[in-house]
Order: sequence, then C-alpha cells, then structure tokens
Amino acid sequence: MSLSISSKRFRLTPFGKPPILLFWLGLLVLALASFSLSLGAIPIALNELFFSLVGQSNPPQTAMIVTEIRLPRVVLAILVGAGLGISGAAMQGLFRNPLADPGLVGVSSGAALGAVTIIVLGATWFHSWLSYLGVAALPLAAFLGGLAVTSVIYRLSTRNGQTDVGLMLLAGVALNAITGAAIGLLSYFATAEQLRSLTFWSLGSLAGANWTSISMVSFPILLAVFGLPFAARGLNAFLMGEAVSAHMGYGVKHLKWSVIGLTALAVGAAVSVSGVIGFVGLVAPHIVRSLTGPDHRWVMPGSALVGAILVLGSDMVARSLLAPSEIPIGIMMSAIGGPFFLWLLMQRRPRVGF
Amino acid sequence: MLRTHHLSIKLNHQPILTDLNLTFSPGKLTILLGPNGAGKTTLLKSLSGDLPEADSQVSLAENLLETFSSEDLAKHRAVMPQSIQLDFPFRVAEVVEMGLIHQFSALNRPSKVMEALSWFDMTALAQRNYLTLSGGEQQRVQLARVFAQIGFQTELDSRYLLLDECTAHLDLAHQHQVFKLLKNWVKERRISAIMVLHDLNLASQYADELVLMHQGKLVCQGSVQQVLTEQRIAQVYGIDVTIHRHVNAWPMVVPN
Repeated sequence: MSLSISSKRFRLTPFGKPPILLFWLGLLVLALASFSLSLGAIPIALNELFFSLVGQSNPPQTAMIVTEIRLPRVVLAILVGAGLGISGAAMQGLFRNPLADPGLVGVSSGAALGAVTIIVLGATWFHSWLSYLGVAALPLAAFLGGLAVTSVIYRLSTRNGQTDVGLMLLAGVALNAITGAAIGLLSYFATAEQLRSLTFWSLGSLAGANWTSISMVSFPILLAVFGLPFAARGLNAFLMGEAVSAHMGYGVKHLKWSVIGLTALAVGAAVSVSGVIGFVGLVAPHIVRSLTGPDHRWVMPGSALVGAILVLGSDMVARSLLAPSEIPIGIMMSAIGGPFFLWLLMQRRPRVGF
Repeated sequence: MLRTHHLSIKLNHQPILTDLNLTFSPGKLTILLGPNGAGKTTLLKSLSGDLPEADSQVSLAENLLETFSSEDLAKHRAVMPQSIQLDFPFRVAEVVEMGLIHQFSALNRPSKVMEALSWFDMTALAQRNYLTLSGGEQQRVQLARVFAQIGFQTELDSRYLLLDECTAHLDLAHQHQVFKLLKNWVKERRISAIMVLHDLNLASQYADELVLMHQGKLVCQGSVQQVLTEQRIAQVYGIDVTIHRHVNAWPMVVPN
C-alpha cells in the first residue's frame, strides 16, 4: 500500500490552476469592456478611450459619450452579469442540481413582480413606501419579490434535505404563471407611460443604464458577489445532502438562509435595473464547471466573471446587429440559453432522476 | 456514552419508536437488528441528531444532543446514511476531504485523505471522477470519508460511528474488510460503532452486542449468544430457523 501518491491540491484546468483561470477570465472581462466602449455609432479608438477615461480627451464630446453613455452601460452589464452568474451557481448548489436558474425557477419573475408593483402602484397605493425609500424602493421591492419566490420554491421542493428536481421545475412553472398573471393584471391598470417601462421589464434591457441606477444596485450585487464565495465549502458539502453536510459539522441552516438571502439580493437588484435576463445563471456555471470541476470555490467567482462576459458580449451584439436600433438583451440571452437548456436536458436524459 | 431516554418518535401520528431506553457504551461494536419497519433507521437517525424532536431524548457524554453545535457533534460522531446522492463530478479525494475540512489545514489534508482511502483499498482511484465509480466503490469512498471524520480525533473519549447498511453494495471480501477494520478500531482506538444490518450471520460473527427491535420497541439487548435464539427469531421475524455453530463458536442462522 503506497501513500506516496499525494492527492493534488488543485485540479488543473485547460488554462492552468483555477486561480490562473480566474485571472484570465478577469482579463477577458476587461478586454471585452474596452472593446464595448469603443463600439457604437461613433467609433472611438482605444488610445482616445484611455484619454477620455482619465479626462484628457479632445474633443470633449468624446469624453461625454464615454463616461456618460457607454461606461455606465458597460459597468451595469458587468454588475448584472456577475450577479446573475454567481446567483445561478449558488442556487444550483443549494438545490443540488445543475438545472436550477433564477429565471427558470421563477426568482427573476418574482423580483420583476415586486418591481412592476412599485412602477404601477408606487404613486398611489405604495406612496409612503416610495417617498420613504426613494431610489432604493424599486430594488428593495424586487429583492422582496425574489426572496419570497426562492423561499416558497425551496420549501415546496425540498423534503428531508432532498430536492425533487421535477417538483422544483414545475413549481417554477407555476410561480412563473402566477407572477406573469399578476404582472399582466398590473399592466392592465398601467398608464401609457408606465406600459413602456413594463415592456422593458418583460424583455430585459440595459438601455436604461446611468450612474444613478448603478449606485442603486452596485451595493447589493457586490455584497452577493463577494459574500457568496464564503459559502463555497459549505455548498460543496451540501451537494451530498443537507443531512450529510450537517453530519460533517457544517452549519446547514445558516448556510441555506444566507445563500437564499444573497441570491435574492443579487437577482432582485439585477432585475430592478435591467428587467428579466434569463439563462445567464444557467449557462455561466456550466461553462465554468466544465473547466474547473464542481468545486464552488472556483465555480462561484468564475460564474460571476463568465456571467459578466456573457452579458457584456450579448449586449454588444444586441446593440450593433441592427444598429441604430437595438434588440433587447433578454431576447438575445433567451435565444442562446433556450437551445442550451434543451441540449443540457438531452445530455442528462439517460441519467436517473433527470 | 451514548444514551436514549424514553425515546419515542412519531411520524404523522404513527408511533415509530416507543419508549426506548438504550445505553451504548464505548469500545463496542453494536449491531441493530430487526425486520423491515422495526425502527432501526429511525433509531440511528435519532442518535445522529437528524431528528430535532429526538435531540432532547438522546444524550452524548451526559449532555443532551440539543446542547451540541453541529461542529462539536461532528467531532464525536460520524454518520453513514443508507444512500448518498451526489450528482456533481467531484474527484474521489475531494469527497473524502470534505469530512476533514474542520480538522486539518489545507496542507495536511491530502496525506490524511490518502490514508483514509488506503483503509478501503481506494488509493489508486483518488483522482477518479466519483460519478464514474460503481455503487460499491462509491460506498467505499463514502466509508473512507465517514471513518476519516472521527478516526483522526485521538484526544476525545467518546467517538461513535453510526452506520446504516454500510456494506449493502460491497462484495464479500470488502464486506469483511470493513468489519475487520471496525473490530480493530473498536478494540485499538476505543471507537464505538452502532450499525444497522440485515445479515444475521455477519452480525453474529462480528458484533460485541446486539439490539433486536420489533415494531418500534426493544425486544432485547445483549451478547450474540443471548439474543440469537431460534425461538426469538421465529417470534420477531416470523420464520423458522435452526441455529448451527460455526467452528469458531459463533451462531449461524439457517432458515428451515
């Protein structure tokens, strides 16, 4: 019996050790971001871009375009993508199933319902809520909507620490229908101007990006992006079931509710500024897992970065494909994510229980 | 010392366990026997701390389970449930490592993982994808994880292994390997094992003590010779058997 073969600390990815992979992904986010900044009706060269970012550009209009129009959009794309990506990874761990996604199980539409309620009824029924909370009213309502849906789904589909996947997805269908009906009902009462904002919700778009919306959502999203990785070890153990991870000494209850809370926070914030952008949370963790393996210490930060790459990339395509008009990014993501989801189902079909 | 105090558990108003007063003293291999539905698994879950209502009726080292944090409890007992479902492609070494996170630093863990795998002949598969293993191999990986969790805790007095049908998927050789290891640990390391088992002959060969249950109640607790009698087996299992003697003196139960 030989003990000399030591178990390796890190498994290798095609790009080296996992931290190196994360570094390359981060670099890719920056590269895409600068490319996205230079892209648009007025092309801006990379060196000009640099000068406008440090406030030295000539002519000053270029700086305006960069800092007031393009930069907020790029920053928002990164925030929203990171928030949705990491939430997807965390939810898949929590539900112990790689098919969970904030959009599929209804968390995004719960958040959308919260937001739409404020848009339509904010001036009448929720006047005091709105005046008391100011700009935070919308993301907070979205957060509460997302939180409510996540806890309902978790309670419905999990018994004795085992999540029934079929039940989870069907509960998602039911909750999507319920929130859809409620949103439909609200839009019936909406004014013409409110209707325009509502359409934007249902399709998902980053066109509304500005520094105010960024200041509103950056705190909750960054909290989730930097907070969730602390739950990585616990989520790894959680994949063997609630009971097993409790047996090994992990604080299961605490883990469960902090993951539910932080994902609802990130999804709520993302939905409140950009509407429902589906499938980021499904696709990003899959790409990362195929490179690093299932360890949440790498899957979660990796999914944040890949989520940012996905949203940045599809936003670039969305606004340049039919320029000067743009395709809502939600449609873009669904066009990519839908077939991807089908492919995933086909892959898993021979396996028991999905 | 692991004890139950008038332990009674109901599920949907149906009594599963009724008034059990059991003491599991350290340094013994105790095997829980009984027909299907006797309440063996529920008893094991109560001892593990899985059932919140049982936490006030079970004590470990004179303290009720409800007074332990899950991290503390993990140092005293490790649990192997009937089945573990893992759908993600972890490597064998990573699975075992999860049981050691709270005990060892990242630098010391790999050698402990390999040692644990060596107990079950699994070192060669350390880097394999867990999902590609056979059912029996997966069970041995889980056994390595569970044994490792308390095997290295040498300063604690009361350490328990709670095992539910943990050899169900193993071949003959590996079944006996597990029992030999258990016997050795019980003797050398003063670890106690409490185990649910259906195979009466395996139980009779290895157990220090048997607990026979029927319909949620205790029938009797005692040595193999005391518990395994033709009359009692007929009464509890409803099947006629003859008890032969193995050359090494343990009883062998053979149905008529």
